[in-house]
Amino acid sequence: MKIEKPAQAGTLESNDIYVQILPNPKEEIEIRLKSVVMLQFGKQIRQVAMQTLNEKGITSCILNLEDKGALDYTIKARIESAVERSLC
Amino acid sequence: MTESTNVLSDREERASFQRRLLERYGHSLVVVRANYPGNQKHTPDTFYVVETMKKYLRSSSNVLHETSTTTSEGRVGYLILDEDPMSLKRRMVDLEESHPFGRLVDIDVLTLTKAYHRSDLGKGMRKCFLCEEIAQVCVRSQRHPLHELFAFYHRSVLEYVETNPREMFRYALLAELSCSPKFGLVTPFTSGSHDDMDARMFIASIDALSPFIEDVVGLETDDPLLFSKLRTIGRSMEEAMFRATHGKNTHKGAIFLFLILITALRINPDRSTLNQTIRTLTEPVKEDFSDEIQPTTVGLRWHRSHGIGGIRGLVVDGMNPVLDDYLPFFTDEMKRTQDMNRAMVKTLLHIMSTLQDTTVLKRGGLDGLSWYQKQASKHIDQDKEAWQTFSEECISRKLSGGGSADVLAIVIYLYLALSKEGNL
Repeated sequence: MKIEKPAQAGTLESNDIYVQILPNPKEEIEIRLKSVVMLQFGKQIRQVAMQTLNEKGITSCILNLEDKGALDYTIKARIESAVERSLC
Repeated sequence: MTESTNVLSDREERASFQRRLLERYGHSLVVVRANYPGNQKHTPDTFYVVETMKKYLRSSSNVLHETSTTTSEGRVGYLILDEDPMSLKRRMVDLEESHPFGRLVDIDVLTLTKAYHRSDLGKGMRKCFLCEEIAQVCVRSQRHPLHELFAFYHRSVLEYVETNPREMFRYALLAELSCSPKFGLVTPFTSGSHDDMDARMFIASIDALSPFIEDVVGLETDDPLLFSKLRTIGRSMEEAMFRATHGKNTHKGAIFLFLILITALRINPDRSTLNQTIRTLTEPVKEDFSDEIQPTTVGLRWHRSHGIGGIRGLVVDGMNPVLDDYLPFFTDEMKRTQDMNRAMVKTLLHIMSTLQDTTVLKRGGLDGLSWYQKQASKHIDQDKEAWQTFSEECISRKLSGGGSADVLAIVIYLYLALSKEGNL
């Protein structure tokens, strides 16, 4: 499934993540990540993000993530609601 | 309004609420909330801490508009200030670093175009409560078990509160107000059975009453006129309460109980003989029950017609049920679960099931009281959902145990006072 409509979820508060999902003309998944804990957790955040998109059946999008130290379940929930808002 | 359980959607809603406030009022917005771990941040501790910081900001700033919300994020205060956002942020960071509660709160400064950060001031990220690591790294790696963080927070609050009877008084009353669900009583989430009251009114009343505690602890305990001086302070407190609430009775029973309890504890902090001290101190209250005097309050009228003593009866008997029953009930619950809201709700139900609460009598008569007591007793060991249903029934019957709530507040005060003395 391709993302056709931009949507967002989350906030820029501590321990949250701000998620923007956009259409990708290149028809692939591109994840752009900024994080306050990039050094320690950057790789893990990307993994959670990719896994969540896969579970939702998304094959094409640009996913902008601005992370303020969110836990995995927060990252997953924010991406899921951005996807749902884009699809509705 | 009911209690939400989703901290993520509550946080998104707060972000858009903040934007609406800034669109409407402009200037700088200060947001004060608890720096508390977990998904349920509304606790008596966080409620007290946020209200205390709001009070401080109000006294030290030019506040143009103020409002609050209570969600799963806990109490959040919003203040619109006419102040340059950059210098305001500097002032708030200083406060986070110097106030006893500084590390227990997050204070954000926002304008319509920008959120101000510590990094804008060249400051590093905030440290963890328990170690030297950056807080966000500890949170992300879940390095510390939640119960250790909760215990740290509770201990930090009590260490500050217990140094000062005025703050113990504020804490006890704010904790009682924060308690939810509450069977027709006012909470931060509902006005219960009281269309004419809300939590904001109770907080205004608490803030108006607390300065008088300095006068109470300034009295000489061997003064032969001690009780009549307490009555004079009590009358001034009632006047201050009615001014703050535009004539509503939020804390009249609590004033009476607290003045006696605080004074009795100053005369004799030993729990095993405190009941005797309270009986001696309140000897003059017995005159209120005399047949010579026209009964002036609901409690006194019920005493005349049915022999029901209300809270006056409780004190002339030395507060025995409070000391021998309600307080140990509460402290046992606290020790078992560390969940103070749950311990308070259960203790309140226990009080409701045994106290002849004249505020219930006033609205519901003897039938109402008997129903309220039986239901309370039945619900002590039930879960939050059952408590919510019982609360809705109380609201539809317009019942509310104001006397029981006053007694819960003094149980909390005793918990603070006696744990400080190592006397529990």
